[in-house]
Amino acid sequence: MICTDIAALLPEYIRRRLPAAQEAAVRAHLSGCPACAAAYEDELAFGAKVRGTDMPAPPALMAQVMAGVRAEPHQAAPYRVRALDFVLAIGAALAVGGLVFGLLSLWKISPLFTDLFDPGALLGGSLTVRAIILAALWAIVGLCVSLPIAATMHAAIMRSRRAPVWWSRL
Amino acid sequence: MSAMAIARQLTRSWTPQAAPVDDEKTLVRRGQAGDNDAFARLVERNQMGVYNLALRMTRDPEEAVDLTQETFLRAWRSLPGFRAEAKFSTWLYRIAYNVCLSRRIVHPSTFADPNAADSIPMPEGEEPPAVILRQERRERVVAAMHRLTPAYRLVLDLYYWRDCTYEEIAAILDLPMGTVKTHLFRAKAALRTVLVAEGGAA
Ligand SMILES: [Zn+2]
Repeated sequence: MICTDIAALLPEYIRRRLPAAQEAAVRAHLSGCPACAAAYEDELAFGAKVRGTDMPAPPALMAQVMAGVRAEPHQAAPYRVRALDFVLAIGAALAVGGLVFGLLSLWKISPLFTDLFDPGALLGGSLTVRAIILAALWAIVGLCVSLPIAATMHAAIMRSRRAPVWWSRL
Repeated sequence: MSAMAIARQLTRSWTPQAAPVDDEKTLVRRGQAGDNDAFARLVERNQMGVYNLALRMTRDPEEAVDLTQETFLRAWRSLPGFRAEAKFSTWLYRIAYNVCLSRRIVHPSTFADPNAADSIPMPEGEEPPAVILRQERRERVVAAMHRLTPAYRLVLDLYYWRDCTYEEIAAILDLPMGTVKTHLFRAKAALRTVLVAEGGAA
């Protein structure tokens, strides 16, 4: 490597962020080149010199910023988890299916099912009450199955997702 | 309450380990959910960095405060879309840069291909001596920054004061890494030139 190459690498060399091979090459060059060694010292001194030269933020800045923020209505995160929608849709379908099933049994269209699984009958309710109980049960089963699945999937998605576009949209 | 909100609530109550309240990711997540106080913590931690970057670009304390405010306000608005793969500070600097662009403090064309000779011209005059910064007083180095073009000030500030990596600067300015390196190298040369022109080491 020639001296201009070395000069370009010095800042990252000092931060120890060069690939090992490059770092070794720079180190070797510095030990044999007084000009570059001086440039290295200079870069080192510059970094140390500018450290801590930031001004403190004005005391009122924080309050000013937060006043602006609090005046701003919060915007919810964009809705984007499709898999979750899918699971919730299954839950909703189960719930609606339960209602339909209950209504069907009300008209005695599907007596087979009402005979097999008809908790309302145990209570000796009327056909209407039995149908409503059956429908409600199915709706609850639908929600109990779908919500935990949806929540688990949501957590997994949040853990794994690589977000593509937020950066460019600012 | 939306289905999403219900699911999020469930997820949260099921997560066994409670993350430390101070953790940046936690603060960001709470901010995204609309928590003003969590966002205030993020402002508190980053206000000095953003303010000093703004100060470097505007060279005017009042305008710097204004630019800082707008940066955080934009950050608050865009927070729901922020994915915590980048450092929050890097994201803020990106927004601050965009505010600078919209206020025409710096123009994106200054960062065009550095090989197109006149995008950021090499400082005039002969090659400045390689060793000079070491002997300069701190105040003079900082003051010399004010003499540089906005583009030079920006890359130098991001690298030496904000402590960003080449990758982060490339992401902030939306430039290839090689271009960032070239700009930094030239900016440094320009800083030396200014110091020489203003009368040697004191
Ligand atoms: Zn050399």
